[in-house]
Amino acid sequence: MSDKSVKTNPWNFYSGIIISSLLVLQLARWIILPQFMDIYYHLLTAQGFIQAGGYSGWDFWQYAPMGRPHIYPPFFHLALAGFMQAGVSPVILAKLCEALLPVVFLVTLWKFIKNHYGPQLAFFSVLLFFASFSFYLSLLNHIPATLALIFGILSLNQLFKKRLLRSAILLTLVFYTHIGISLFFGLTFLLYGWLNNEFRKKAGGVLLAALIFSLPIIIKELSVLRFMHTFGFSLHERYLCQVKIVESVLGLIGLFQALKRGKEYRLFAGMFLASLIFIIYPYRFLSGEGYYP
Amino acid sequence: MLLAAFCLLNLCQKINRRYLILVIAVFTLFFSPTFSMYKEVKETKIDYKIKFFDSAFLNALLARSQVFWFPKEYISAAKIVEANSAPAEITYCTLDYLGLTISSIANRPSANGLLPEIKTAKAFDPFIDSRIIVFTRIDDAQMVESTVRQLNLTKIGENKFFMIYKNSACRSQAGVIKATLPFWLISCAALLLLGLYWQAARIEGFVDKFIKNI
Repeated sequence: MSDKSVKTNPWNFYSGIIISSLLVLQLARWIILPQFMDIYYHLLTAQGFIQAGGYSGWDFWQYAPMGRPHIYPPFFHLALAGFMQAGVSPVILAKLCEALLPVVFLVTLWKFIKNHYGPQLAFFSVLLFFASFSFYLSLLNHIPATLALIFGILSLNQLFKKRLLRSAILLTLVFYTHIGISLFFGLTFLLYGWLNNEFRKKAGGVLLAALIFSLPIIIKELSVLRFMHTFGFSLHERYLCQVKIVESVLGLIGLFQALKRGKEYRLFAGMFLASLIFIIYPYRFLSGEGYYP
Repeated sequence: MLLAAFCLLNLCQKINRRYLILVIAVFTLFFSPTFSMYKEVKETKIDYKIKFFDSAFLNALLARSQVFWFPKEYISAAKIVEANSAPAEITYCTLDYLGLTISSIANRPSANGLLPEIKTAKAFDPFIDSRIIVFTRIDDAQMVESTVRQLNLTKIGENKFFMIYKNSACRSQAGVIKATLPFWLISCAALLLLGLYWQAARIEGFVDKFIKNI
């Protein structure tokens, strides 16, 4: 960045430094990646799809030979299967996903906030991203959720630009990538439409179109729901919660400010209310994806 | 995160001092306290504490975190599994997540499973149904010995983490289920979606015109 642009817009420069340092740190960690175990589940699922010759609704590659119903939305696994069929090693794929997707998430978020809310708020968002270690780790560990967050932000970006069909397509991709994040963004569109009447019809229309496009996967998920025998509040991870003290207090103050200030800021309030969906997974609500709004 | 950022923005706009930004940045990137809880799987006591200097930036910089990737051990174990089993033969590891790691690198079905929300369709004995059984060095030695004796397992390899056995009597295999949606159909749907995205503006204009005409 030139001296002139630093003077005219220092916020973008500061944000650039933070984003670049994340990229450098991620690449420096290349040797220890993949750091988490969830990626092996996804790799094995992709291998299962390759063996099946496409999307299979029965998870025969785990708990073999009995298997179990497959509930996970397929977008990420299909993408992995594509790369694997093209000859990319599963270990390299795992490393690439964990190293790069958190950076892509941060760049997407920064651009979205910068374009629609200004560079100063974008800088503070990027700065606060670097505050929560557990959120950062959850972005690395829950790769499909990270990917779905990226699609969700891109979908909101298109909604703000009033390109409704593109917004609906991107929201559809969220539904085909992650269950929890699709509920979060579905509710965000609903609540933002409710809180901001300028966007009510548009957000409602986008959500309706995305739901129609996503009907096959929603029906599949609902049909398998009876096989679910536990949720996050009975998993061990609920004992590993981490709460950012200062950020939580600031967030609560920010919630009231967002409701009081201009209508466009109500998106943040809508996102917070939508994030309450994560409460059934206390770790994710307090320390993972719930930290985002 | 976004609401806290919004609060900081309002604060800075009200106070408008340069040093305040610096204080916030240093606080966020370095000091950053966290209230955390922790419980071991088999323990009943939960530990609560406040951790200082717990930002993502600092932790990533100092590479603090648990590491699960040990390439030498995992890849060598996966190579042994791959060399001693056919593609549909099942691998089982006494530690669930390591079972998936080895199976995914070796490209073999696993008797282990992640995503605990959905359990197996029917109960089964993974020791009996698996061609390859991987014990870890932290497994109970007596349990390993008795399993090896009962199932008449043959040792096919070991490394610093794992002892790998073959169950020659095992005839079970993972039944590959044919895809509900084949790749060619998924590719067509993806291309259609891509085309829709590409031509979105034109389609929206057409729909608008159509609605106005009605």
